[in-house]
Amino acid sequence: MFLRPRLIDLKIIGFYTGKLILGIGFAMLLPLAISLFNREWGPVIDFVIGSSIAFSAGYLLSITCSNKKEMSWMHGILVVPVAWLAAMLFGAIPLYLSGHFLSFLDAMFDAMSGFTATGLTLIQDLDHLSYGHNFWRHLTMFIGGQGIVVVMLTLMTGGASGIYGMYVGEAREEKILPNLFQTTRFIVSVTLIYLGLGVTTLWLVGWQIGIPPLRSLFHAITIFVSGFNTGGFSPQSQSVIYYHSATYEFAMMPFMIAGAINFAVYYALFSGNRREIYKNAELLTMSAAICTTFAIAAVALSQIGIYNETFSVFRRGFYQQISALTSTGFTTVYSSQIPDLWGPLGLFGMMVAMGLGASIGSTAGGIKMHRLMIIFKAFSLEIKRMLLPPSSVIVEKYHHLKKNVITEKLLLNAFIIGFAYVASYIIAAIAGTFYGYSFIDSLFQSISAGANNGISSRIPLVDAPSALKIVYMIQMWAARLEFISIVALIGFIISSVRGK
Amino acid sequence: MRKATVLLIVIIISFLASPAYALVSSTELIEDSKKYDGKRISFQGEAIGDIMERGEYGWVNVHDGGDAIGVWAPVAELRKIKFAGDYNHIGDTVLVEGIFNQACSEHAGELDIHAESITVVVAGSQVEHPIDRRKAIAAAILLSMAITLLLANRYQKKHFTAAS
Repeated sequence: MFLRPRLIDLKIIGFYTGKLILGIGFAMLLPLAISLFNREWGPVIDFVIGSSIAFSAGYLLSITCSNKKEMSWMHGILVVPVAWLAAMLFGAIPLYLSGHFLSFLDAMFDAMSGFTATGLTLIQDLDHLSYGHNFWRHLTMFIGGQGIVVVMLTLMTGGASGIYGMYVGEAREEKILPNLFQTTRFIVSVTLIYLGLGVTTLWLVGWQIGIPPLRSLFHAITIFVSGFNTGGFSPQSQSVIYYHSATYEFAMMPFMIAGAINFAVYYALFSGNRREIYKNAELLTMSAAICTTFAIAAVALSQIGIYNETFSVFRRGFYQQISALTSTGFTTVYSSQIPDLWGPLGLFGMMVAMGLGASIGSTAGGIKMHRLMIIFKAFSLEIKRMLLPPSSVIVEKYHHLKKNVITEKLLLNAFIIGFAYVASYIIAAIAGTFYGYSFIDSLFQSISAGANNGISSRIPLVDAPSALKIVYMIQMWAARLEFISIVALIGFIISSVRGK
Repeated sequence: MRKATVLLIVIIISFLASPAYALVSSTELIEDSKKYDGKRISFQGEAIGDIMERGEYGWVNVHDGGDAIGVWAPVAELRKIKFAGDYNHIGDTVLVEGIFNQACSEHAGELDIHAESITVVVAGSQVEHPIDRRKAIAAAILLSMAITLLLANRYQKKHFTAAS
């Protein structure tokens, strides 16, 4: 029997959602400042409108939902999906006002794609977009990649008691430090260190390849933010092809990989446990996955024979596999080249890499290496059970920060979430075929959206039916939050209607 | 006689302005890249972004409305381009003539055009962005509303704290 939520429950959810909307309003002040700096008066007005609407809605919710009750773990987990929808809605306003979207739905699609660090886009004429709007697209990836609710609410509430529910709701399973405020501060600190390193590197390389210094700085910031948060938006319409530079591509690659590594591993490294990098089972699984998917791509690219040199195969194949596996979604080839030229094996390699994703507790999407490793261990456990005498006590262990034992709870979690991802890929692929697209193109697109990857298939998304766009938006939202908080929200809605 | 002269002049002008090789779109180049690989082609579109000089040669990206293609050209040709498209500029519309590569061996597999010549067909220009008055008024109203609600929230907090 479900218990019907009380008004106070709605007030708590509304109150914290209001806080998040205020955070989105404050975040818009950054692109507003950039537009002011560049004397882009139209975009300045767009961001005044956007942030004013966000502030108004945020304060209105704060006033109407004001209450004295503490937020519980369950409230925390429910705030997350609602807050992400609110972020999409308010984040889309300045995008739509830019005039670069055909409809508000398209602007919401890009806002969802940005906050979930996916990278699919419906923007028109990106090459003539203002600096302010372009920066906002990338900032959404930074906010979403870091954990939109946790970061903002930890900073704005000083760590309320139910905030751990939000942390879990945003698909971060491990508390790196005992205190969540310290954990968030650690995540943001790691990001800021990489930000300094990444922006400086890309700025210098960009300058060296012929981009004027100020523009190179803008490219460096946007590409770093997008790459480290495994997002995939780029400031120009050609993605990374724009730079025509292997140096630039290889300069950004370490930051794409860095963003796809579990932040708990960074904590171990910063605490002096350097051996973690060689022993961590998830990192080892990720390395094996990179080697395997690149081997598939290398064989595929060698078979088709259009890339004559080994370096060409490496530059195209390795970069694309890293981009797919880390769920970044940058491309160094035109999107239709993958299905058209790379052949079935190349396409298969890309889909596998996109679908698997990288580490838990990172900014990456997809099923993730930790779960893949646990599923493999489960198979190994079963094989051992079959081969060894029934009286044997079999324990399967793995190293992740410490020695861990594979438990039924871990296994169940890995299978359920893994299954949810695969189901999401297949359901959205069926939706694509329903609208007349080929199954392979639909599957590629659905894996790209469902793994928060962002590499496009041959499906022209701008012209796709609205219903299909909404399917991809739901996929991006559910996948980024790893389904649990969405299920909790559905349960909450059902109990609101049918509960007693 | 006059009509014939005018016709002759028109024919000469159109011959001079027309591309020497088949004019191909970006969609054709990307989706049918095998067909055009290694062939001399003409490609026309707006120069966008940055002119990236690298020694004696450099890159410019040319967008024809479908997609943008990278053009590798001698610096002397690139310097004919005065405006590259961005928020504040409409880029020069250029006619690029050169060899198309599906996977260029000189540039580690890039899909590109090695330009022999670049001609500015239509000069680009600075773009004026007049302020939309309706938007400006809406912004002023919404900002006032946000400030009012901020003050209301402050008042409620004070009141709430005082009462508890």
